[in-house]
Amino acid sequence: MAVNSRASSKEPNEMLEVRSLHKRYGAHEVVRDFSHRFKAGKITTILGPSGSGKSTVLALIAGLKQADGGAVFLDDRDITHVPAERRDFGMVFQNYSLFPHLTVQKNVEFGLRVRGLGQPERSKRARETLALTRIEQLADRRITEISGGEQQRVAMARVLAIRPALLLMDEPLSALDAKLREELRTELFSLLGKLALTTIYVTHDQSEAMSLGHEMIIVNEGRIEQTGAPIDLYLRPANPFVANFLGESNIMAAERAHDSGRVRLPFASANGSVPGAGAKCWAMIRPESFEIVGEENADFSATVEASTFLGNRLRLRLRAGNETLIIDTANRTSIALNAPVFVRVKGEEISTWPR
Amino acid sequence: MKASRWGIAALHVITWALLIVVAAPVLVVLAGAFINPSFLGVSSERWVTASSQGMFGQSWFAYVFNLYGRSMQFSLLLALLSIVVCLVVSVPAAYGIVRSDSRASRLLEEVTLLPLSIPGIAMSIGLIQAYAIVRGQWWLILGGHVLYTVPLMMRVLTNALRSLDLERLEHTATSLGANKWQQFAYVVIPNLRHSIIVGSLLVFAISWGEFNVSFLLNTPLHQTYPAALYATYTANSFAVSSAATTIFLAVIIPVLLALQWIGGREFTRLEQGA
Repeated sequence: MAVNSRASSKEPNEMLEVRSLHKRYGAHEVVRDFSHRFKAGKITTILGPSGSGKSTVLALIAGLKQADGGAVFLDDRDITHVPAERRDFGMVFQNYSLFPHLTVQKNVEFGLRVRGLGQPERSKRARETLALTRIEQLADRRITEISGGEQQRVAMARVLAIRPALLLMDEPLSALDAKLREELRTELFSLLGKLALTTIYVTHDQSEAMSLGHEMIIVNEGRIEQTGAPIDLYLRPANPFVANFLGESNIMAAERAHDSGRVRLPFASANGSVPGAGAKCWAMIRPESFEIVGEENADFSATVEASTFLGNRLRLRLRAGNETLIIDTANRTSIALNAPVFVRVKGEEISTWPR
Repeated sequence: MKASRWGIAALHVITWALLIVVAAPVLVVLAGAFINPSFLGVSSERWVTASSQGMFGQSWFAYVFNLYGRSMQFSLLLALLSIVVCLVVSVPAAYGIVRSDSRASRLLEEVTLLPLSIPGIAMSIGLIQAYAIVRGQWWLILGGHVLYTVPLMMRVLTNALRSLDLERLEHTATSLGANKWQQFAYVVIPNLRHSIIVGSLLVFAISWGEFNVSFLLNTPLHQTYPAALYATYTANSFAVSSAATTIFLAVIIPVLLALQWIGGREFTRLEQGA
């Protein structure tokens, strides 16, 4: 087999674009009209609940599954029908999927072996990538002899050894227990940062998606709900799904003034009073967008129904009119249950959608 | 449940008694092969005793090798060829069946198990009638052996393939750049290594010991060793039969021990892997 030229010398960071991908399993549509231009050299995270089709999108990009409609472009080249083994994309699977019959070193060499590289070159590159993921000392171990965290690093090294044009990661940390996950996350993120590869990272963990992604895609029922920088998605969710999915939120029916853009909440008029009737809308306010103030600065008053100490902050459940609100406040705030408190909404931190 | 000391003692007695009952025939045969028949009280074999004196009389192994050497060679050849044919047929078939996992493939799997349920005599007559033209050819016997051993090889391989999570392994190999052949050669086959060895040993043991088909289809020129054994039992002395049987056991017992050993190792490997 001829040595794949792109495996040894290729320009990094090609531009990936998917156009209107569709995938059905029987009558069930798992991916619907999925289009996106992935930024070259950046990390894009795809976040969604389980069953939202996010892993299927990854499999379509990798070529492991065939789309029922749509196309995949790499640098404006249509690669929709290029077989997966010729795409030169590296994929890290959820359960790592290491080859049980091979040692760590041979696992890492696999991609080079099938590309026809000679043994000396294979060993050299495997050693290099094992060093990059800091597991050189495990080279001769069997897969059954290493821990879950070590397996994750082997899977990473195996993919990096082929110098992929694109790095695809399918929930690479979800198989680990919480403590180890935290530890490996920091390390994996700093490695990905150094590599500056075009990376697509699928996860159902919102903190992973927000902290890692330069860009984030939120999917639900096979459809893109919103795309953008993590901070924009968090502060300006496009719809109630995104608001609910990314962190805690309070969503209520409200009215928006035609002239000033101010929002009248059902129990008060935040941001000042709204004269007359406005357009009906949904309003979303994050728990940290409230603050407890003196009566003179308050937008509304409420009753404390419950308080939960969360270490770095205090979470209160308030009743204001007919609404139940979740608000976060400083952990040293002293609060009496069933007592009235005065609350202000921080300016410009209300998102609205038409109702 | 806590077993009493007497209960455990009784269990030991029963186990050992059973072991002795099972082992006795083998021990008698071994004794017959090595010890002068007159020492064992076999008085009918005066011609044997006449030619040798003492407890360890004449060894009959050379005589047996001389008489049945060709049968042994033929049976060994048959067993090895059965392994080759079984592998050539079963590896792709098992892979195809597990990979497609359709109703048709499951039906095909059942069909491959069918020969096991056919008695040897019926199978032999069937083979003779179906292939009357080639009757008397040695490879008809090979055909019979393969029919009996393919189902077992298939079972061993399909079980192993199902426990592998083929799709995941193949997806992984594909994403690393392996084409279909490379996936098969570098991932599927190496992961079947243990099962291929176990299956081959099973095929060898069955073919080496198979009597029905061998006996009914054998020809003067191509006699299998079990058929030769039968001839010895009916026509030869106890000492000669014992020597011939000892040779038979000397071949099959190491194979069975190897099966046992690999099976045990495989089990611990799976336990550790899990």
